[in-house]
Amino acid sequence: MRVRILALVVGVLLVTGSLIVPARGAPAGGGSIAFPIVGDPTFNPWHPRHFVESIFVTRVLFNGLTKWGKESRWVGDLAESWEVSADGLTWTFKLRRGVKWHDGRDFTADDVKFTYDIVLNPQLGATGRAAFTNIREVRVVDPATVQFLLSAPQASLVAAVGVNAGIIPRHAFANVAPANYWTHDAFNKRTPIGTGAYKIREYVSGSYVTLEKNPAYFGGAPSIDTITFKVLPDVNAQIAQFLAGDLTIIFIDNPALVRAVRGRPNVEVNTLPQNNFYYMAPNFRNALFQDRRVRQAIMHAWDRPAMIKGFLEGFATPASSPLTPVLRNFFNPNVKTYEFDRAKARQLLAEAGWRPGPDGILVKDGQRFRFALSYPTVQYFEPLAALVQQYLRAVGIEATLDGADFNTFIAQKLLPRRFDALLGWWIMPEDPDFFNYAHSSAAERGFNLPMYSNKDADALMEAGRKATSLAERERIYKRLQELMAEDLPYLQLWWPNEIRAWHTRLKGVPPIHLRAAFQWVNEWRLE
Amino acid sequence: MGRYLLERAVQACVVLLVVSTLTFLMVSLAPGGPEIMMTMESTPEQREALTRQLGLDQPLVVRYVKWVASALRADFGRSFGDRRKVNEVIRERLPNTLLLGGAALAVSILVGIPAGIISAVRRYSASDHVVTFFSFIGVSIPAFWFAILLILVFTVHFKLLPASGMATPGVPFSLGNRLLHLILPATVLATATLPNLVRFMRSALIEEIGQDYVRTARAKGLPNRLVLSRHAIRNALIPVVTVLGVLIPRLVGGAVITETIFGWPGMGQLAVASTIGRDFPMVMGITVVVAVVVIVSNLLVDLAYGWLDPRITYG
Repeated sequence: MRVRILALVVGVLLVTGSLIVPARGAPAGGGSIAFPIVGDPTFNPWHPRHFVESIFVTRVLFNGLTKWGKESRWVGDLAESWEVSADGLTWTFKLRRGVKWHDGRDFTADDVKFTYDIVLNPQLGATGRAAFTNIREVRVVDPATVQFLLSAPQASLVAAVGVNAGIIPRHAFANVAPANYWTHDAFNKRTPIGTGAYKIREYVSGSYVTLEKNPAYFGGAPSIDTITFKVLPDVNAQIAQFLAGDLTIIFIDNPALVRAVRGRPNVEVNTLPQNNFYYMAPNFRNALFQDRRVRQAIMHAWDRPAMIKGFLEGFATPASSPLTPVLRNFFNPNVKTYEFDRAKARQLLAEAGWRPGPDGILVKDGQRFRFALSYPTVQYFEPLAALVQQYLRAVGIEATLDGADFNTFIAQKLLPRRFDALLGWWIMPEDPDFFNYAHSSAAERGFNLPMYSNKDADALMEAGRKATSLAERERIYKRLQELMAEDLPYLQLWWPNEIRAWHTRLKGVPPIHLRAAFQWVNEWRLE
Repeated sequence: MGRYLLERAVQACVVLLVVSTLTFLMVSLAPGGPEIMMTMESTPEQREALTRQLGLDQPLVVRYVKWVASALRADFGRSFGDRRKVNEVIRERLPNTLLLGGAALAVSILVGIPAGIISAVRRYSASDHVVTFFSFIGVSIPAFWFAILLILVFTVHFKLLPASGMATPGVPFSLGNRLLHLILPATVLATATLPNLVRFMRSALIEEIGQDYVRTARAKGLPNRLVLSRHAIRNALIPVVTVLGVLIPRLVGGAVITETIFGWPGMGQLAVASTIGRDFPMVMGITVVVAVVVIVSNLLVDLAYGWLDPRITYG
């Protein structure tokens, strides 16, 4: 039967193939590119369903007030310039003039206020709201000026207003009550109206979205005619389509797949550091982890270069603190580091009072060193947890594995803080502001998963938000990195690299992570 | 007959009620919650607001009664994810799945039944061995592997067939384009059903050929062709129809792996994403639709028995 099916395939092809298969290869200039997304996108960047499958589309459709620049610093997008008052509580953004929405209407300060009023409305639960909890009010000064009034200083606001914080048009929601914003399908799911380099052309639910260039784009008219985002949840299918030329550019999430594309003709594979941090978060409310020497011992107990080689094909760097080198001037390379050294780990544990019991597991005051290691069963966490378990066993610590699907993990471990230690990761805006992740005020209800509480660290993170000069912020965050490397609020695993591949005829993709590079898509071109 | 259909209709309502109640309980009691609340980056205030918006702050019984009340009006509410109407999404996805499933089923029947007959009639011949060999391979081959293999061969290497989606983006609809996109996924999907049909057809027919009535028919001088077509095959089809009755709902529920790999926007993809995302209204909507299809296809199978074997009566 297989033979018959194949014969049928060939037959159909012979008859219809030549007529229907569209011509490959693009005309000079213009042309079209295709990029895979993992699910059906939602076009409203504040919609609670706006996740990773949507951000690439909305970053092209919309603009924020700022964006991550090609020189790895924050630059103006819809905002032309901004200034902060001396007390750090008033931010004034001067907006670009003459910007038009895709439907031809004028962009004004009212649209900015409208957008942030959605974010600030506690009833709506807009996605990304966590970054804006310090904003008290957004005020229109004149059509080209908005003011953000803060309840506490937050120097990182410049980054917050640039990450998935697209400004949406007030007029598209004119007759919609706030309670119905998320069910306003006409905008959220069908015809988004943005200010971005590309506008919507065609959307087939579950299949693809095609955007076409916006010649009136304020950042300069794009060169490539259309971008198609194809819904392709399966990575193998993504790679196959990329090799077949049906996709122009892809992410490679699983480094093991690099070998599938590397060395192919006309394919460029490149990698660069990103502001992501993988960690094991100890629960500071658990007596086991309260002794700093124990945390340091764990840092010596695992061989991170070997794990990076094993899980990530080398595409990562052992983390020296949660803050990554992507932050450039803020990064402090001179902090305490931890190499793989079991003798040192055992010695630190002994200093902390832990002695090997009869079966080799450490004992202190009649208590065994035993804890549950929780992790979500996504990415490579399952084998990673098993490997961590082995490394810890070798220095006398018994970890039991406690994996759960992502949803259950969040609901049952992370939110109620019911765990001994967990494996996780943070994807952070490019700013050293680590307040939300480690300040004691964020312990119960924020992102401070380890429930870390340290007065010195708190003071530094507060000062870092208040500081107005760059030099002062640099000094503060360099000190914070020293402290975190020594005191270990998070047991640091690594900073993974981003790996991407594209066909070499695609030019002009800036050397920054792809989410940001899409915000410069008007400069991309095909040769 | 009329009374029989009425009885079946009452049965169907009971089945639907039980299925929907159980599903509602199971999805509601599953650990975790709607995806939009379960992100690492959302704040407690966000989660509280969304809980209220989705009505999850109400007791389970209240939610169930509300769901039944609107389901009776054929309104399955809005998705917990992108908040579109469940009916609208299912209306978009169901035809795609029916097209893919229908194509796979058609291939299975058109190829599988003749192949099974040939292999039964010429038992132990070379053609029987070929058919048995391929159906054995077809049963054993994992769909995801076969799908990737086909993509590598026909898309990456020979650049003959598109590897995903239902149409080339930006190209106006054409039947040829749709068929081209259908070939690979339908082939993979048929690989799961076709060998089953072949094997059932073969064994059922071999059994019938050995029966007394076949010998009688042959003894009275009926040509072999008529013996087979008029008597043996007709009787052998009964178990095959039963298998089809089981396969059809499976094709409507969507071929999860096939749809995912080929980016085919069907019900299977939707069902998996909704379940992982704890999108309760969507899961419920899909469950009811699939349950209805199961009930209807079982009824059709039962009616087909009567047509195939007049001794079977209803009532």
